[in-house]
Amino acid sequence: MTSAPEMPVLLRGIFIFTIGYAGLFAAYVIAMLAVATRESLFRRRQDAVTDYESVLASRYTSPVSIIAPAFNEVSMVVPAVRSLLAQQYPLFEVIVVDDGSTDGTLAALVEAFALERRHTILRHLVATKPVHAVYHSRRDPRLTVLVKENGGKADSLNCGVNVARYRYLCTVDGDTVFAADALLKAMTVVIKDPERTVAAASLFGISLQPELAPGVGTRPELNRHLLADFQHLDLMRSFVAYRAAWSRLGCMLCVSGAFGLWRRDVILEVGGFSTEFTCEDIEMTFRIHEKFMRERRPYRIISLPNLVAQTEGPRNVRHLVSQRARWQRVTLETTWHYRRMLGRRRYGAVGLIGMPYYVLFECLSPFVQTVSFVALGIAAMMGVFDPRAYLTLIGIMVFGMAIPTTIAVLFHDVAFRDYRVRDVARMIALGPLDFLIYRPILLFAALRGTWEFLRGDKRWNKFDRNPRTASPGIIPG
Amino acid sequence: MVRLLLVAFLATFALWVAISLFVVMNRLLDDRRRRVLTEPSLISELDQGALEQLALDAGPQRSRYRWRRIAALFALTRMRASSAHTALAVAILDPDPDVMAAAAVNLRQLGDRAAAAALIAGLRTAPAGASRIAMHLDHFEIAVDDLLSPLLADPRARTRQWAASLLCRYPDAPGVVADLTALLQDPDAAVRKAALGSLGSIRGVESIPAALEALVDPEPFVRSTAARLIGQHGPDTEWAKRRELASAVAVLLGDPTWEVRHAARLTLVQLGAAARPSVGAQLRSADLFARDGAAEVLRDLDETAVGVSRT
Repeated sequence: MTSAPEMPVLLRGIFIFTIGYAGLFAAYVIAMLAVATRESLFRRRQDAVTDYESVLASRYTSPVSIIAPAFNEVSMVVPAVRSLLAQQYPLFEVIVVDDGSTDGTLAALVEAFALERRHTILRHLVATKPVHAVYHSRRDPRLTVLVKENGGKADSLNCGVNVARYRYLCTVDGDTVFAADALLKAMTVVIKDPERTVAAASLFGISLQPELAPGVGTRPELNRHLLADFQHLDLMRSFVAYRAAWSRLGCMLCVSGAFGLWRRDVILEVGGFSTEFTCEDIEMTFRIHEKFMRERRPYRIISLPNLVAQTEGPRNVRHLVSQRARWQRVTLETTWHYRRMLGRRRYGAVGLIGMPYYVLFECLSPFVQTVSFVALGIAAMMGVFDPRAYLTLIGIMVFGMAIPTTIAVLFHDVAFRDYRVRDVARMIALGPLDFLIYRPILLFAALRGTWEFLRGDKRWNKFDRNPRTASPGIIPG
Repeated sequence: MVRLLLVAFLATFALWVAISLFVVMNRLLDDRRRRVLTEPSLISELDQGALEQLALDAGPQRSRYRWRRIAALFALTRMRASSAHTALAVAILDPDPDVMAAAAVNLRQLGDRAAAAALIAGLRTAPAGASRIAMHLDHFEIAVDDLLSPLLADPRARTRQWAASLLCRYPDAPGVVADLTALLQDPDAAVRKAALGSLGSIRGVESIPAALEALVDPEPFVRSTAARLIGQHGPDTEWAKRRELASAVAVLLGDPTWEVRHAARLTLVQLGAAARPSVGAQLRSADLFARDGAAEVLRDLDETAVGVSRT
């Protein structure tokens, strides 16, 4: 290798910065994995001794209002609502909010659930777009469908909040199919500490056709589609390795919109979901942290490792980039809006651990990665930097990034033993490929999302539904 | 530098391979391990020394080792060991929610009067998680009404509330109706609500007079409970009585609280055609909520409300 003093100063600086940044990230990941190990052990043991049957049979189990916003979900809304109504839980209601769909979503619901329009007086606890109609199901009195003027997901959730009867809210996506024990498993943990637990999230998987995914009591399966399996693995790593650690440390900063449990009084106290951000889920989580920390009130927001649902993931790169760009955009919006929490002891682990992570490794990471790899790649081609060193560095990153993924698979498998061994092996094998194939796509999406943030773009950019197949098992495998 | 990076690469690669192999091997060996550990015969072979160690592990002095303590509680319960009740009686009062929950599960598993007494002691004094304890008492195998009744006079409102709720399982317990009726005047609203709910379950139609009195309770959730109770049992009464009930409930269409208005609407629909005169009278109310609620009820009763002003 060319000796250091001869390396152009800029490239040498980039190299040192890259090593430092990677080292900092590695240290952070190691620390989070250590914490996640303890959390994983705790949750596994807790799950083993929990008497779910008693919770299911008890009239004292807190009832839940499930709110499912839906916009142009004609292919998914009926299976999603069916899975919600099939929840094994003592008392709950399902409120579907049709956000002005134009593809026949309402007609599909009317036919599937024998809906009839009823005149119902609604509360207005949170301001929303007008509700045009209210439907109740003749077949299942637990189901209510609101039809409103299009206003976005946050506005739809607020409509549901206005109608919800019970103390706990479960906000879900209208394109997600849920395991029958999703609510039971999550609420059992929440009601162990009802005074402090104000929100909870749980792991969900990615499927190209969630409505064909195996039901509860059967083994989950990978998609046998590379892009979908990478997304599934990405979520597993995020929930099982990172969010578990944040949950234990008290800085869990994202209760995902696909499945989130909230205490209704807290949602109302903070004024409902915000329509000012691209996505409402992460912003609500930040807002609760900020308020409760500022007011020094005891609370906790937890993340659970149970696989509760399958949601539809993009099938092609274009749609994936669109989705992930939106996620990057909302991360930047939220982090910028709550920047006052960064580094401040007043905000505890959120300010000292969670926010620095978001700034360093979510917001700035696209720039750092791009500059590092491009600059070092150019240096390697110019002979300024030894190509062997460059390739070796890539190799370190490939397997270094695969380790958290493999540990996440380990945690999940030890806790649940649900995937077949061949699927476990496939997830492990995908780990190193993740850096070579999947990460560049996410990097591009993050850069695009950053550009959209700087431009003030707030569009949802919903991806088209994946083409449906008639027979189960082809896509999910 | 290259050599250094190469060493780092090999170390990273080796670590990944080691973890990957561990994942797969751990999974392949798991089935065999599970079969061994869950064999009931293994537990019955424990000697006295092991039993004493279990009793020690189940004690509060082992609070640092939460899961070992919980495992010991389960083992003592399964063996019906003589030390089980003592250990569980202490554990039910533990501030750790997982220890307390495990104790509650195991006390219910034991299912005898001593276990019930321990659960009730937990219901009275546990730092948190009373609902988890009540959940198990609610499905306890043997009757425990004689242990619950004294709690109706407990100085703590939450204890009275739980006792009032749990006693609905014992309609034939001596004095339970009188005791619950007395609690309708309790200073705590949650106790009044629980007593009303239990009276409704026990006495059915005969609880309606109490519900009528509770329609004017200062606390909204007591009023809504009373309205729902009337809706539940009112349809079983004769026509004249239903009209009288509807007249009392229709006033709640203008209640300041949404939950009470909602309960009133549902109840009036359940009372059926007998409610029409009273509901119709509310169409001329000066209160907007009352007019709106009346219109909705009449629509649900297949009536039209022509000319009703909503503004």
